[in-house]
Amino acid sequence: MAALFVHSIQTEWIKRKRTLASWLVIIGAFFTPVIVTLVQLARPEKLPERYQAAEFWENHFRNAWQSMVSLLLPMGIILAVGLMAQMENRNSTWKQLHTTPQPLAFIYLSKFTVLLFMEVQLFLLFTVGIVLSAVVPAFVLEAVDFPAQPIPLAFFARESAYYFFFSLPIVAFQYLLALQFRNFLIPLGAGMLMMVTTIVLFSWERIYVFPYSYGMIHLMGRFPEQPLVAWSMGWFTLFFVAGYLLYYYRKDRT
Amino acid sequence: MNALETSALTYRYGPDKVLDNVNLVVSPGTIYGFLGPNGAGKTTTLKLATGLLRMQEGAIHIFGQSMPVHRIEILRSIGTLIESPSLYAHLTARENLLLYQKLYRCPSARITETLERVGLARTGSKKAGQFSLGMKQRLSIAIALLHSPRLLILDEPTNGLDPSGIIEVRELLKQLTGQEGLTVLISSHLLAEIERLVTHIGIIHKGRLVFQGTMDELHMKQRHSSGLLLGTDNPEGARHLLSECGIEAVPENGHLVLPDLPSEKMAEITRQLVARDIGVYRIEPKKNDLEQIFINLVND
Repeated sequence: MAALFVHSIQTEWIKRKRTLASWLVIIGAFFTPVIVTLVQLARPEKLPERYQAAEFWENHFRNAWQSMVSLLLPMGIILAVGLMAQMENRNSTWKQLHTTPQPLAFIYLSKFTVLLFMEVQLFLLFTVGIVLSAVVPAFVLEAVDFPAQPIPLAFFARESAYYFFFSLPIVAFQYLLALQFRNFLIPLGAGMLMMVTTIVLFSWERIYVFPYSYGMIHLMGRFPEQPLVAWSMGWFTLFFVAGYLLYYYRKDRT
Repeated sequence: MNALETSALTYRYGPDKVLDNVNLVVSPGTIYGFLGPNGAGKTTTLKLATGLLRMQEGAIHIFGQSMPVHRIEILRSIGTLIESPSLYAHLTARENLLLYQKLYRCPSARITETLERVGLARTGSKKAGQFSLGMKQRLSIAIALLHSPRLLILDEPTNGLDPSGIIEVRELLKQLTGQEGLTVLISSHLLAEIERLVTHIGIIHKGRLVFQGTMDELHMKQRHSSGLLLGTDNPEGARHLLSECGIEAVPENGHLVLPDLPSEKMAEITRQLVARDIGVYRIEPKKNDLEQIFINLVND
């Protein structure tokens, strides 16, 4: 059974080949680093001083994550999850997939696993992009030296892990919606509504109850991490289990 | 042990009963044509048999195993093509088969073998989305055949195809149906489409199985007269005389169609017709063609 599950994941990974969702990962990963690089090249005045700061890499990392966490990451998740489900709807392939000899749980889990792999791929490429966006100005501009501080890989890994865990409720909720509704606009609209609601409610002292807010809260450092991780994992578990039950008990699997 | 057997299969969409006590029996090694007009319940039956719809009433056994209790074991032994082609348009034919080769865990050599069998071995890097409808349907059949299933379930495999696509798929099906040990259940709304392919037939109408048997049994029905055809030089006069004798005659293409009559009665009527100077040039049993039998069955 374990081998079958691995094969199931492999097939889902093959399916994403040449899809818009797979391009979205690459574009999403390098969009912010490219903008950051261009801004730095266009306004190099303060760079020499900033590059020699004690916490250059930490500041550079947070700066890059700012646009990512508030807009690009949730938007990317909403689109990628929707597109992955839409691939089956558009090609009428659910019925063929559901007549393959594998438990329904494998189909549900393997699709979700591939979405998480894609997110990890995004985070790795984004981290490479962040490093490159710091290195390129130092290469191009004579006045700018390479950062004195070594790249704090442990910090990058820890922060990325937080953003990953804080994004899980978004992935799970969008996945639930994308499997329930054939119309791509429903999960897209619901996801955008959740994003807007997060922004509108962000000043509320109990914003931490809202499942799409954890990445932004972490970025702003408004609450301690541990309760946020617990809230995030709670929402994730709820959405993930509810999504599976709705998927499993669907009357028509075509 | 039957390849597929349904017992008192009943299914409702809301208040509408779309399947009513369907008892389908598909013996192993047969080519079973499942025939019925659009909306008769064919696809619903096949979706239930493949686990795509949740069972409501009745039972389904495939090779002796109950669906959905043994869903995975059953799905290992069947190949399916339900309604329109199910293909990933952004992948090549080989990539589409690769997905299923992994899930069915069959040898990778089967991909090339199956592509050659359906005539798609030379499609190279062309994506499935760029295929003609006939090619798409052949690739869908390849997916159904990939793991060498014991039972092949094909739901309207020529539906929506243009004439050349229909010929492509029909030729492929002719080859398949000769394969030893393979049971094929093929649905269609056109008897002419499958009558030369199948050994057994089931006819469904408004959710009820109205006929089930061998093609020979269906041909027996065809041979049985469903009345007498009377040709006279005065149909109106003949009809009047028959009416006097209490026999209802229906005009059809210049002749009269009479219900089946005993030989003595027919001889008596012939004598009377001749006595009234009505020339009789033809008396023969009215035979049904298969399409007419199908229409009669679904109209009964």
